[in-house]
Amino acid sequence: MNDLQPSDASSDLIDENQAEIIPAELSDFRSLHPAHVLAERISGWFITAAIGIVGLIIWSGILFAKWPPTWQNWLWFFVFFSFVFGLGMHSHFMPKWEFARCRFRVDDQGIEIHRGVFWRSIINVPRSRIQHTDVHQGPLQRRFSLGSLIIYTAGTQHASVSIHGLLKTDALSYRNILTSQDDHHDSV
Amino acid sequence: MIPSDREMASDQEEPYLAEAVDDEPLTSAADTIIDRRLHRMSLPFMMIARTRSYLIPAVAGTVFAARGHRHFALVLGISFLVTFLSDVFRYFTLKYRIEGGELVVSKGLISRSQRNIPLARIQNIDLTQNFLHRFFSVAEVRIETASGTEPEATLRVLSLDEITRLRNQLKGVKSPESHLDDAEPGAFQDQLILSIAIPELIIRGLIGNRGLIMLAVVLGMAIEFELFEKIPMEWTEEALKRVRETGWIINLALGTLLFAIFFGFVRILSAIWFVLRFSGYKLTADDQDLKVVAGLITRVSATIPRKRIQFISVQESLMARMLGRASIRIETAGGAGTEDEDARATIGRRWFVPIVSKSFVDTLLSELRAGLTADDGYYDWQPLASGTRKRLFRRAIFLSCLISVVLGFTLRLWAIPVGILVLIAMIWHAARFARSLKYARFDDGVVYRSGVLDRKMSFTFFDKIQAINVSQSPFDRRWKMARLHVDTAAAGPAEHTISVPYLDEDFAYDEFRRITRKTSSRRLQIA
Repeated sequence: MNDLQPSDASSDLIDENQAEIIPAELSDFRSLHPAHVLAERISGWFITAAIGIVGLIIWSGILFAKWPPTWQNWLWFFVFFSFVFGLGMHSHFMPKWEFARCRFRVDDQGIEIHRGVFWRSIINVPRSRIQHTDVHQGPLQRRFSLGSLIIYTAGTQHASVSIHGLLKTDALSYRNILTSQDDHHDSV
Repeated sequence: MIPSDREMASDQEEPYLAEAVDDEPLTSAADTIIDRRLHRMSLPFMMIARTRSYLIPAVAGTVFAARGHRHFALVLGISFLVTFLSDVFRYFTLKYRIEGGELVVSKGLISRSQRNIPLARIQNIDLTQNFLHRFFSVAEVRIETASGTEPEATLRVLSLDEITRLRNQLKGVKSPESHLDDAEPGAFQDQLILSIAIPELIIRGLIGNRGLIMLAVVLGMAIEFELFEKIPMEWTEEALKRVRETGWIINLALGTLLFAIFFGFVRILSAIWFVLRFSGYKLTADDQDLKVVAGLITRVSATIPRKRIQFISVQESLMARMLGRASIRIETAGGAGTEDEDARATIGRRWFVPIVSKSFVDTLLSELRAGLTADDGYYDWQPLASGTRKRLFRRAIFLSCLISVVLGFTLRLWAIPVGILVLIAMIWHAARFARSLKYARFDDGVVYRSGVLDRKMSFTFFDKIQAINVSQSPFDRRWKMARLHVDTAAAGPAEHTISVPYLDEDFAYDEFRRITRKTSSRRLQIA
């Protein structure tokens, strides 16, 4: 979150004018893999296209049954296709914005993820709280060599914390960093 | 029944095994490389497990189909087919192995998934066997870690030899703790902390709303058996005619009387529920565990190891406060479930202490966790963000205007005075709400207090906190506020979460860092 300034020494280094730039503390955070933007766009467009096509089919059916269409028909037509257009814009822009805002850090302390465009959230899972992990790869992710890292905790609302859009090999190495055994003791 | 994992550690005899299996070394080169698969009889057992959940819909589907509605049965058939196919895929693609101190389970054809469970985290390996399982010498295996809502891995089914091999590999890693779940309460080491007499339970019922649930059950059954249709039409028509004829004052009085009777009835049902559930309540403790024994018809005894307590909540409804009483609820991390876990969970986790006098609360709290107190003055309460009242007032104004506009469609000009009343009520509530929200951090953990009418004060501890989260809605960002949330295991039953809104965003972020640091430095102590 650009607006949440940490109140330790590093905040002195943050210039007021640099409010838009990621604060210094976040510079050691990583980003997702850029191919994730494309993957998300593809799946978004796919759903948009599917809905649009179904809508068009229904529409041709309606027009075929009743010609000429009334002004209410035109209104619904307009509403529906504005919705589809909105969905398309969402599919195109949101992945890019989410990619820009998503930052995470994986180290021996645990994992911390900053994300969110409108609703912003930072979540931290200390290493000792990680119960087990999944590395998951959907069919679309497979084509881009991407994968998801899912971390399970004993918590409830955050019983699982996931990062989608990592390179699969990166996901596996992060998993190793987080779960490498040190004498079966929790970190103290 | 089946010996549990802990019992097996001490039990020398294993009567249900076909042959004894030698202890194998913890890991050997051969073990870590071989991928193991499910037993070849797994598919039928998976299908059997599925049928149990499909039974009622299947009956309903047949009934519907008999009456001519085929669609439900068709949909049901398709979904059954889909789950069957997914079971087939699971059977063919599931592999597991022990590698690097972890149990690695991978499955999936289209979406591949790999789950790594560190052996040290595994709390129990539970078996389920019905007679069919015994016939084939297999069992359904559930592997659970401390995150106790559902098993981390369900291997349906494995042969008994394989299970023994797995357990042996596990034995070398974890240290079995002995919690005697079925120990008799009142054993010589136990100390009686609290017992609740029936009059207290009746009071608790009268000030609570449990009766509504019983009423809902009764209503549901009435609808089910079409009781309402048995009331003759003439009666309802006659009644409506009488109502229209009498004056509105009498109607209002009668209506209020009826409502009061209904209200009283619900409360009496509630009192009955509490007496049935908690009759003879005794809370005892020894140095490791707390034990609760309660119940009139179904006698339940629940053992709650202190270490399993994740979250403690002291709650006072408005009426409870007026009578100087409070209730204490806890949330505990799950262990494996047994048949009557539900009843135990209800008492042990949800209710714990249904009613106690306010003066005794601190004694009870220190029994749960040394040094814990509900005394307000002890804590260093943090103020909410400075704009909180303004934000809440603005929201009250906006909402009451909205309500007035909506009501204006039906009530016309009457909507204005109604809107003003709503506004006053909301502003009063907003002011009380802002004052009732409190957050503080103490040596051991954090405490959060909220609630205008029903006050709840909840504690959790750094060694129980699982994940920490700070978030901002778009409105939060505009007001420079943020919400701080700490996540604990098995949250929910106490009906209160430590999710603190309206904190100053810088403070929230710093607190986020502090709690993270404290949590990291405390060992995980779920159970």
